[in-house]
Amino acid sequence: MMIFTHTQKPSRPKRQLDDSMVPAINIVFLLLIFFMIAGHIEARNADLQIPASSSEGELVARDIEIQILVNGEYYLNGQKIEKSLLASLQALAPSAESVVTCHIDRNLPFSALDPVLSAIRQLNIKRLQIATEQRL
Amino acid sequence: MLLNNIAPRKKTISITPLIDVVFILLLFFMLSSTFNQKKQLEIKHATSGVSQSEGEAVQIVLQPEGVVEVDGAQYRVGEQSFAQLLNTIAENDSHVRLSARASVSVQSVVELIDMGYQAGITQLNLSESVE
Repeated sequence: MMIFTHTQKPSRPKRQLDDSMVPAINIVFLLLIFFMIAGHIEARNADLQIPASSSEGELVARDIEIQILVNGEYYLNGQKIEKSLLASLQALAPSAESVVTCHIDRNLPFSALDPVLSAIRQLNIKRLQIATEQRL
Repeated sequence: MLLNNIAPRKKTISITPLIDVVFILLLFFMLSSTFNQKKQLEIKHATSGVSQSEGEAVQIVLQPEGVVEVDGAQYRVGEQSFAQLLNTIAENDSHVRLSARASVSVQSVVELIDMGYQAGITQLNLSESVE
């Protein structure tokens, strides 16, 4: 009896561990697949919290994208604007059919949107989209 | 010939490193993925439309602390009479020119635009902040 337990002991715990890990690994795989498919990865910026709305319109990526950070920096298609927004927008040669998408921080005063509004007015752009997130 | 006689050694691949990698991938996807979808509010800047409906355009100015000025009359955002006014504007299909004081936050302006769209207003124009 003693000999039997001695011979069995070294291999038994390892096998048992492997067997009991299999369901756990299955769950981990399922979670992995869920997060890979259901979620989407994007660059998050703590300086840009977009406002919330109950709008149902899906945000589609457009050719002109303006970002206004909470510190008042303007980005046009990912590039920081040093000079005037109007001149930078003009360089993109927008047509009347162009759509400007604006990501603006919700805590900014409304006056931060003024350069965008006046620029699109002067360039005769008719469509402006304000990016919002779903109200939870 | 000699090689054939040797019994093939049964190699067992350890799955522990695989699980480690899977765990790391899982952590990465859990922490970096977002689930709330981005939406948009569209404002049609009808630059030509403004001039033709200049006279009948309703001028709405959002003031701080939820006060709204509609053609000179003051309302509060949550008020029943303001909701009714928005419905009336939507029924008349009037053109709305929305603006706000410079100090009003973007979030409250977006909320007002949202209210307008929910009431059924279709012609909304956003203009620069007023002092």
